Amino acid sequence: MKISLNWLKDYIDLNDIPENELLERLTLSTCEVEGVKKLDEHIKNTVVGEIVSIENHPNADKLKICSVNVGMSAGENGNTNEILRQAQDDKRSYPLSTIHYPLTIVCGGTNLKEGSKVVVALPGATVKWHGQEGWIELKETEIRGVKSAGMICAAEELEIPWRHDESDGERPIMVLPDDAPVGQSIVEYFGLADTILDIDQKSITHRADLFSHVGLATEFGAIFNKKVDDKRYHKEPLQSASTQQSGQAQGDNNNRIDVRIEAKDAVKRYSALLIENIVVAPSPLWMQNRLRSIGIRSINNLVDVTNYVMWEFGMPLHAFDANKIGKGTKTVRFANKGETVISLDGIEHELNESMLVAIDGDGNAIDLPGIMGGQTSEVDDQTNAIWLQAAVFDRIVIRKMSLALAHRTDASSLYERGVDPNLTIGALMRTFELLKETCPDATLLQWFDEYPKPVEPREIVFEPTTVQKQLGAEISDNESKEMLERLGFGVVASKSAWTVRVPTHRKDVHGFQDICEEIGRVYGYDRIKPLEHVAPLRAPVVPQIIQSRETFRDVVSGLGFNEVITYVFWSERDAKWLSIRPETLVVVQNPISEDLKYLRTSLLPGMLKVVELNQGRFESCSVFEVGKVFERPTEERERFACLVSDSDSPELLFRKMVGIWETIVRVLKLPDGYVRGSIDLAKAFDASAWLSRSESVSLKIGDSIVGLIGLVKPKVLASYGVKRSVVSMELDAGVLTALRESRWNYRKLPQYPSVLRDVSLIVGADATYESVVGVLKKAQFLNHIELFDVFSGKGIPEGKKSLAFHLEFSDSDKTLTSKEVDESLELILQTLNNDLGAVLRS
Amino acid sequence: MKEHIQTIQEEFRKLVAEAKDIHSLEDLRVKFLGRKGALTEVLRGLKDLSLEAKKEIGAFAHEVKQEIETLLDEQESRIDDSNHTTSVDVTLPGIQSERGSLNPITQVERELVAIFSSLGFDRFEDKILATEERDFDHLNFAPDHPARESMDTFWITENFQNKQTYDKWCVRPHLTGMSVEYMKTHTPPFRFMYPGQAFRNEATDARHEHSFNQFEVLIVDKTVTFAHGKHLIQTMLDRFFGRPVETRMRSGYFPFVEPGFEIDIHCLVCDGVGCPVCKYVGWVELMPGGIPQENVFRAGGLNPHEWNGFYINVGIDRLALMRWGIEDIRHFRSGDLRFLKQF
Repeated sequence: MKISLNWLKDYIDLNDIPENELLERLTLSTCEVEGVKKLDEHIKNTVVGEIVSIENHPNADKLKICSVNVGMSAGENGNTNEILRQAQDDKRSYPLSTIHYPLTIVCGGTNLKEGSKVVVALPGATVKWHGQEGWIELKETEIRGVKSAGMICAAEELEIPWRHDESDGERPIMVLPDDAPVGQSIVEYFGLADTILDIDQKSITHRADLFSHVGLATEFGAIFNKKVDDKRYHKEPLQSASTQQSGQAQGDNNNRIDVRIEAKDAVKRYSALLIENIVVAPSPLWMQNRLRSIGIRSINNLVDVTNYVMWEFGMPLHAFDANKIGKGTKTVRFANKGETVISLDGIEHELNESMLVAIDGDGNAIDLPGIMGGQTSEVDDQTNAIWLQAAVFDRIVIRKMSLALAHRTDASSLYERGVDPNLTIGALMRTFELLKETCPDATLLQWFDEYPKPVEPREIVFEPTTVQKQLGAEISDNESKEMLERLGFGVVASKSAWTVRVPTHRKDVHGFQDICEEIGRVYGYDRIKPLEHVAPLRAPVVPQIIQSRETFRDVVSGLGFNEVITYVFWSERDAKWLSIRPETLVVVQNPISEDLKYLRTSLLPGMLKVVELNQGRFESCSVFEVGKVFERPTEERERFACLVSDSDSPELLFRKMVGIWETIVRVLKLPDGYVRGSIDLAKAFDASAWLSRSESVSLKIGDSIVGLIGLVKPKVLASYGVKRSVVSMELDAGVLTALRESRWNYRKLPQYPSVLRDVSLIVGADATYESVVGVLKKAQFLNHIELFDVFSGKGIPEGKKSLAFHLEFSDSDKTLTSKEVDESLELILQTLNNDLGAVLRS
Repeated sequence: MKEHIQTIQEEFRKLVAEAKDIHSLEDLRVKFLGRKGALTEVLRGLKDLSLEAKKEIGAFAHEVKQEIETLLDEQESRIDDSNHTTSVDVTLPGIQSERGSLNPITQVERELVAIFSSLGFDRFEDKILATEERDFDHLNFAPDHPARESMDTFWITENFQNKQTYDKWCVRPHLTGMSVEYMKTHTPPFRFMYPGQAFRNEATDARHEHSFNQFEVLIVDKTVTFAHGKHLIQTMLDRFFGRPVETRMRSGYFPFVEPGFEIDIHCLVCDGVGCPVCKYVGWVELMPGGIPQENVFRAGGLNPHEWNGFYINVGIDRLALMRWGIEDIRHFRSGDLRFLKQF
């Protein structure tokens, strides 16, 4: 939203306050000023000129050579040096008494006319060049062989909002009214010595009152303790409006218009004036300039005045041509399905039963209430009477309409935020007053006002001690009261509590906290001194699962894994590649794109994408993630996952991952975690479809499956474009955490030395480690087994492999003798031979 | 005997000059003076000699031992002084141990957790999938509030097996709904933190993500005020950035706080001078917060006239961007190892 500082100053004297302080305090207390623009920042050496004569350009069809009078001496030799010297000294105005040598200017405008008043940029001026960023300094240049002493400007070249007629052609220049004074600086002519604030609307969606100049002036008044000239609630001369529904201002008249409100709940108030003796004309220059300064193009005195009052008071208005809306009763009702209306901008809207429409006595749709007037009732050059409407519609109805029709206007935005119904009469009278400036004969013929449930100021009982209790700042009661009053609140103080009357335009203020906020923000949050809070000493509580999570992160990041955070969203393709039926997944109703429409059931696919991203740059990829997975209807579980991808042999990768698991078991103090060869993947984890069944294991603690390790199927890798083998581990954080031992006992150091033996066993190539160790474990005195080599090839018979172990024997009661160890070993080797055909490698 | 010692002496004198590095010097020391060294053997044999011989030979042997020790030291200094290349090229680059990393998001979260743990805040967590009641109704969002609309919040499709059983569910758009769950299940006064991931239906670019991490705390006490909240914020930021940082607190509007605020921080990239990061205003919006709105207290089962509180919410992503001067928010979740391995 754009706010003009000059405009604001119509209602409040802010001249003694530096501009940056104004902006800073407004940002801190009310709303964020996102940007500031000085309208004349780039405008200089640009003046009003008059086209004296026009000739064709000898070398270009689309260009003309214009003689332009800019009200200044062109110097002795007809060059512009003299003008430039003057222009540098003063960019506002030029003495009209100087000799009027015309300048020669080459121009391609399609609406050039002799005698037209135009905007002339002289050398040294800066303009926005078509299709280019930034402002460019103008120089005297030759254009197709003809020297041009400046430029006749189009609106966009000076960033001036401008409305062209169709007859102006493709490349129109701005044509000023005939009374524009030749030689006057454009800065002065357009009132560009102004600062425009760009206000962040998102932060004040609850404050409809701030979307107006008077509304913001009130804020400044409260902040800087200044008087504000606020005419929003003036009721003259319709003081009796609340007792009388409608009436004639000027005796009886056959032109009387009636309005029937059928959509009762959707129309909070409907007020209107019938005004005659209207003459359509340009608005006064000051009003055009005000509107342009906030980005609104001037159209004519009728349209402009409604826009002006809207941005002055925050009340949307609409002027219908009274002659085009029929004589009988107008009706505002909900539309019939399929009913259509064409809005002012020529767009035809198809309505439904939840949308409002206004119908004239002849049954024609004349208005899209709250959004935009209808085309058939539009004011034009012939208009001599208007039906000036100030109505307040239900905000939700308007928002839904605006959304459904995809049609958003300044008016609909205001309605969506909630316009105060008590504004209508003041706004109508203000419009009438301003209209008189261009239509001095305008007469008020009739007025209409239907206001079934007048909105009264809300009253809140407020204990002033609450200010200290909530804010922790020492603000005196009197100071608090004054701040509220400056914001338009009424405060009636009794012994213990105040009765605070909330102005009706502050519908956001409901309770005691809102009142504290008003006081706090006007006082200034920056002035509240920080205080240390004193509370009982207490050790914080941390849920177990968080402790597991952080330990897991520490362990695996310490083991060389990098933590990734991948999206929880899956695409249809993910489901397909993972052979998951989409109907088993949680579905996002309104995804950003089809690629993000499901919620994941595993962390793996996201990590596969990470592998694919990095495989070109890194030989190996070790990543981990901690995150939620989802299950229909609304279940979620936390998973810890690790993934390694490398060109090592799959078995080596697999063993690395098993090593990670074993470390996790040790560090998390899990009881005796072990890897089991046989698994039922589908049961615990929805991973059966993408892990290779014969190359996967479930990880168990006791009888609970806490996770699994597996090689990803080549087919899945290919889908994700992953080139190297991938082993993944995924753990269920909840199950894992529940199994952690709260008490873990230290084992005493052995008192007697142990005896070490290395053995190399030759077994069948298909014998698993587990089967060998299962037997080996039974050896007497054997307390530790460590595999240190697996080998097949040279020296090992075909179809066999060798497993080499460090074995550690000990006894808790005595030092073992060599003999005891040898006997134990002998016995177990015998068993191994009997059971598995294992023999010692010689 | 004496000749034997002299032989040792001469042999040592010859060898010591040839020792070119400290390892061969150490070998020499062991050869002559070690437990089984040549001279040690001699010295050990002294005890078998006559008293007179012991005196003479012993003195000589000790003299030689001293000479050997001196020569060893001298030769070591000589080796150290020379720029002679040894078997170790000390200029070679280090061999890297395998080292992983924690995502910068996790690192920032941990720092904030540490700060608030030290102030006695409990940890709390709740689900990502939430009912409309938890994440909107409890938080004083009006029934027609735009945030409820699909433009801002991801909703879960209502295609449930048994429609009647479930309310409208969303993927949480903020963490604040969890605070009411905590209030409902704990007895005040309390102070707790609840970091986590949140999701918004927002197009992604260098400064926006549809998935992002937040850190939120709530303190509820009869005696806590806005002024205390300000102190908490200042403590948090000073600790996090390791130096006092300039902030400003301005009025902000959120349905669940009243009064509400926004904290801006002096842009740490340009020190407030103005740069693209702060859009040339010198301030960067950092975090919102405020006193729980009375209806939020009520939803949590607390009397707003009895209890007061203070919320602080900070975007972890944003803090991380500022901490390390990261130019694109998407890096955090990209999985690009070139990025992750730096942390």
